[in-house]
Amino acid sequence: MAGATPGTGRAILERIADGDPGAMTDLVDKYGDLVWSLARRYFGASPVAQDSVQEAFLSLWSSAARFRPDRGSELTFVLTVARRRMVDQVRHEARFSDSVPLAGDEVDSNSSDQARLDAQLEMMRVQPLLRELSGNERKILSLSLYEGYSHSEIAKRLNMPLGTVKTRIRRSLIRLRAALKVERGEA
Amino acid sequence: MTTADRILELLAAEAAGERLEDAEYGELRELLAAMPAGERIRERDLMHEAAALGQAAFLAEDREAWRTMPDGLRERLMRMARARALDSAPRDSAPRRANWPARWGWAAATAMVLAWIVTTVLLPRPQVVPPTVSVQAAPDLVSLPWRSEVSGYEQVRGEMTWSDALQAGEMRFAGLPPNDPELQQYQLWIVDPDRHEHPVDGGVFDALADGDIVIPVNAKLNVDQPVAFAVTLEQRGGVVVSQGPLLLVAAEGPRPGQAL
Repeated sequence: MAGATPGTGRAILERIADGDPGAMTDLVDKYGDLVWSLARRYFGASPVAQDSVQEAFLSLWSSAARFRPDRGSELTFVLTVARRRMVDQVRHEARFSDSVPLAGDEVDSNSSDQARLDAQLEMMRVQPLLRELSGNERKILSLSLYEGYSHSEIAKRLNMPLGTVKTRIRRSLIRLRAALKVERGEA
Repeated sequence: MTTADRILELLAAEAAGERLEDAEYGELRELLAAMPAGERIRERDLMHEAAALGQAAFLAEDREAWRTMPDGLRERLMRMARARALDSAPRDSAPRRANWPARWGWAAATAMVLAWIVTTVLLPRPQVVPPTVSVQAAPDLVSLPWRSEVSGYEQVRGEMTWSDALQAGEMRFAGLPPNDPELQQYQLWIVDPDRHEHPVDGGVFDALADGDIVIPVNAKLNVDQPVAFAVTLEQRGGVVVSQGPLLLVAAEGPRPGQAL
């Protein structure tokens, strides 16, 4: 499991829930770059990106006791909590794009950092889920989930009716959910 | 479209970050309320997980998107994490410190210094209610069982204890369905019609895991003689005025001289 701490077999979130004083910094060490990368997709280089990462970690530290290793990996939990916090924030903040990178915010495509590679390997595992979707569905879902465009922005960009965009995004997510259930043997 | 399909459609819209119309949001709340609490949370979580994993899959394909967190942000998070870890340590040992006064006697001066430290430095902040033992020992303590006729909550057991003198109390629950703290939280309301026209906000709280919990009451206003306590499920952080159904109620008969 991606979340297990080497040598202990226990996830960092479980250690936080148990009151391990070093576990919260370990969570930042392991997932900080990942959460930051997600925040950059939503908020660009605006200061809101940093605030959203801070909010995400506060939420993760607070909700660590809800993590159940038998129901999914630690990475999935981190991604889900961080994303939900960011989606909440997106609803309240203007979306920034084409921003100038912040000082110290480096593109990290050649990094050999083990934590990042672990996370990337686990995420590669979920890519087959996207094969459930047609090319057009993937495109729309990517613009929504990954690029962070609003549904009306997507409709304008693709010259499609807003209702069609909403319907396709909803259906694509439902199919991803179904594939996730199958992968977990819950279907 | 079946009810199950409609729930999935609305959950998908929510998980995608779509701003639901008021009517759709109300419909989603009604449909979810009809489901058992555990299933409701599981369905919602699963849809959000699907969205998060979908996003992660796109991220995994995009090498250019990987970023290293700015040093300043990393340092700030590390400071917060360390402070939070330190902050949780005193709470864990609070009962031991609360017993310190019982150990004095060998040197009055030392005890007085310790007492000063305990009362001015170590005891919980003012908004935190006194320790459990104080509330339970209050001479005017009222204890009322929780009752519910709402589907999914009939099995909840426990009691509400309250002391007018201390303006403090505790909620004890067994079997309270877990909430999803990312979206909704339980909220306590204190009914004191002689003093307040509307129920007083008693604070929000979460029920995690098995639902066997003890929650101190954090009343936002002074209450004189509460006649009832009620629990609702509200948006995260709570609301000022509740529109939701009363999931649990703890009420007593009329007090002497008081009309309900």
